[in-house]
Amino acid sequence: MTLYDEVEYPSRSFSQTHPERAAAIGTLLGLTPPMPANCRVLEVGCGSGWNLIPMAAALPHAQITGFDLAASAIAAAKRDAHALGLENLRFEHLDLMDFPHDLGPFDYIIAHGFYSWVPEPVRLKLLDVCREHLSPQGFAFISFNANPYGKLRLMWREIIQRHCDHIGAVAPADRLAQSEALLMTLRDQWSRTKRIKYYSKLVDSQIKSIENGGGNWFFHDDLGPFFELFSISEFSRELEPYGLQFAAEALFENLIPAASGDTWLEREQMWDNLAFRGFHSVFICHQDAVLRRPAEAFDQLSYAAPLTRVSPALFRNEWTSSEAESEDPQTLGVLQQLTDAWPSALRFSEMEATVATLQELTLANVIEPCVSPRYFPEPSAWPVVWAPARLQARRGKVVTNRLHAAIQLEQEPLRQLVIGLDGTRPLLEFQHLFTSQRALREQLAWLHRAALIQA
Amino acid sequence: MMSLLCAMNLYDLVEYPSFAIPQSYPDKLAVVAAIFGMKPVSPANARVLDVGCGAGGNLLPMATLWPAGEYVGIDLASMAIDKANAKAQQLGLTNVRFECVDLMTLPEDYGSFDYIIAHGFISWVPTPVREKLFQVCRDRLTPQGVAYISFNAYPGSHVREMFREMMQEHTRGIEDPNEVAAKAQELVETIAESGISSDAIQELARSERDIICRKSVGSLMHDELNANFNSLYFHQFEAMAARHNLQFIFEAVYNEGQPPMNMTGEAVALLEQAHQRGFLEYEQYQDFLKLRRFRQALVTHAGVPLDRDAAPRSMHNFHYAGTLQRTDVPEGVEFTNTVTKGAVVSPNPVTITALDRIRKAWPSTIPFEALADDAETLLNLEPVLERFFAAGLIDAHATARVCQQQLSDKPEVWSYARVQAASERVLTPLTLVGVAAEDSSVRKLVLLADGTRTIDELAAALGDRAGVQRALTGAAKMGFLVR
Repeated sequence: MTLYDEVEYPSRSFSQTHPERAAAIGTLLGLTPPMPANCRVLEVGCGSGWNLIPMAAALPHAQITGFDLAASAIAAAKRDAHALGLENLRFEHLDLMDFPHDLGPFDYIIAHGFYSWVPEPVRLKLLDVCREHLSPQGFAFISFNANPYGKLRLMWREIIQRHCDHIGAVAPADRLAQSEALLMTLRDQWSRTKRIKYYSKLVDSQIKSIENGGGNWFFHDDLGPFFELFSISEFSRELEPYGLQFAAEALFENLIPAASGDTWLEREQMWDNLAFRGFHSVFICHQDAVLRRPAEAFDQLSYAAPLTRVSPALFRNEWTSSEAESEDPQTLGVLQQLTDAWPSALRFSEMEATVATLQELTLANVIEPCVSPRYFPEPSAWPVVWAPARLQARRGKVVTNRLHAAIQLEQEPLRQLVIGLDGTRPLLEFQHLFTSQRALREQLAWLHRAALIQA
Repeated sequence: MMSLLCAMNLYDLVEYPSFAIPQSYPDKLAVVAAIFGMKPVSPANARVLDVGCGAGGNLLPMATLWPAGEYVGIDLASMAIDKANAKAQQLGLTNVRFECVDLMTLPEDYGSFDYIIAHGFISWVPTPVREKLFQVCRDRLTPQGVAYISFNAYPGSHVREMFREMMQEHTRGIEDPNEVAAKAQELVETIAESGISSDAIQELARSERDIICRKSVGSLMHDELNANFNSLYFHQFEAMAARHNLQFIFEAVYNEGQPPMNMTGEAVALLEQAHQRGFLEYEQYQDFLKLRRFRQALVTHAGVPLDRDAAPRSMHNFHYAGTLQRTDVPEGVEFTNTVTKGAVVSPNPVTITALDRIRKAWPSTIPFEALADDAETLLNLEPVLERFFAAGLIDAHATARVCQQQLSDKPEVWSYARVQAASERVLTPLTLVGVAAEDSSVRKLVLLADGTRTIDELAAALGDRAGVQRALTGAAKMGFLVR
């Protein structure tokens, strides 16, 4: 029985862990990454599987394996994979320390929320597994907590732990409630002393995230038994004896650090200091892979973006909220092309774009590169929402789309529509959920733009 | 490293500034001890050990102040010890000795001590040395002895460590301390002014910058950039003390041991809840509410009975001082401490008289008995004084401090500052708070004002009568003159 058996770690998809992202960044760095369509993926600490399930559904020819120490989570993952008929996906109840030698190799290894939250031997075992089982041009995704910002979280954590231990708050729900109350008391008191007033604003952002439904995350991410911090430099040094190297940040906005330094790592470290970062999602690879940094091969990829043209010179990405304003006809042309193409992606050769423009728009989170060209046709008269989302919609408001992004279904009728659109009924049968046929069609168009429609 | 007796260490390469730590002085430690019901040894003839004494900046003024006491300072930095001994000789002190001795092998014949001072020590040494300090306190403190132990405290110290780690990473591989310090300070400055992060983060960065970038190379290398930098939660410190049969008395600075000002109802409830689990838990929660990053803890033997409610009844034992400013306001009289900024408005004539007498006595102390004219009034004054002491408005001392307020015919600067003036730029008055004397003619004046020369002679020697008059008047106000 682990803590993760007691309090479920909300399992969801993270698009930055998807092979598509790893392959895109690998390509940008001049590597020849394995193609996502038929790659082999391993997730360490996969929880109840909802990062891998949509991935396996989106990549039917890929071979995907996940394991976790929490038996209840693995049982749930297996049930859902079976319900969706996913045969390219297997889940194992397994301790990383007992990792079998005959498993693998893997093109992509994912360890999200793992590195900082396990004891040192387990952490190093992960690196050992990467050394032994990662394919030559493969990427491993690892996330961890970092100095400097992580020190603040460490501070809240230690105060909370001491408090809960001393008032005898043992049950997870009680601990969480007590934590929140304590943080609020501290926030209000700190705000009354000039010398430490800014700490009240800092802790307030933590409180807000708990209030906005992040309670279970906070419980595991911040109050679990381990909470280790690593600077990007320390992390990088830890990789060396395993023949591994830090390749790049997994989020495009962090891909090229806006700071100077003699080496690439110094640039990364300086950016961490300046931006006061506390969390890293990175890709690592074998030491002998030759990386060309900064990322430059933007002409090797396809691009997509859920854009709205707000005004003649201004485009906004509906998902990231990032905006691009330009007077340049060529840039505006590219943005309009991508607006029209969405949710499909366009190859570099299909756009009138320069590498510099694509780089700028990518780093600004306005457009997103991918390695696999994709074409999502308009919904048919008997529309089909892709299966993983239909299963998720029966349970709640958050579903994963075909691009591995989490989508919120705020309105109940919309959720019902998602559950119902399984291709056995024509669209018009769902008229009763909405005020008009036009509203129904608008909802369908929305689902299409949310990349939830399969046919 | 610590076992290589007197080997060249970091403290030999980069000098750590050595100055008086007033709150570690026996006359201050005795006040706090007495407030909690102890019977501390008289500060005037106590045996004092200063662990990590450096160049004697703390012990030398002490030994000068109380000739009947006996003082021992130990440090691993041989150059600092040589300096301290040289200065003791200049001062003609026979009651103090400095030895290049490793705490780990503290000789038995050093005997026992009424006060042990370890300022800036346990947070900057490896664990075995820290343990040893507690052992020494257990074995060498006299029955009513008090140890002053300062340390970096969590939770606040996490932020110091945050910057320490960034600076360490940034200066990795650089050997020259001056270069390390310069590069580290440049980094912190850049972060503080980057403007990239949220307002709260930038504010945090600027406030750390204000601390780090004002430090000398010596302080920075020995504090934030020391190879050892350990922080403890109060409860960890207390547990360590308990393991060595010692107990926490209180913070050395009485004012800093008080709960935060201006508490919310929830914060009051939280502290009360903690208090129900014991005094030590109450102390720990104070650190949370204040985000404390540094403690100056006093400890004594675990067997010594402490009375945590005795404070208001102990105040008659002390001498009082304070740099007070008096302002008449409609509600009465306002007194403000110009250093601590503590303030009070009182309509009560008894209170006003007492505070006014303290104000006029500065820089000397005034004994409790002199604060009012009759015994009954004095009795009622005790709890009031305790409140003012707790609020940082006034200071309490176990012994009198006598300074010359009016200029005499032949002014005399106390001997310690006169010896300092020959080679140092920061001079220590009897109030022990260092004063920068950048002007060489001021230092020359201090050297000459030894009680044998008249003001006229001093004026002639310096060729600036008005300047001499002004400087001497200032010196009197700051507590440099004994005659």
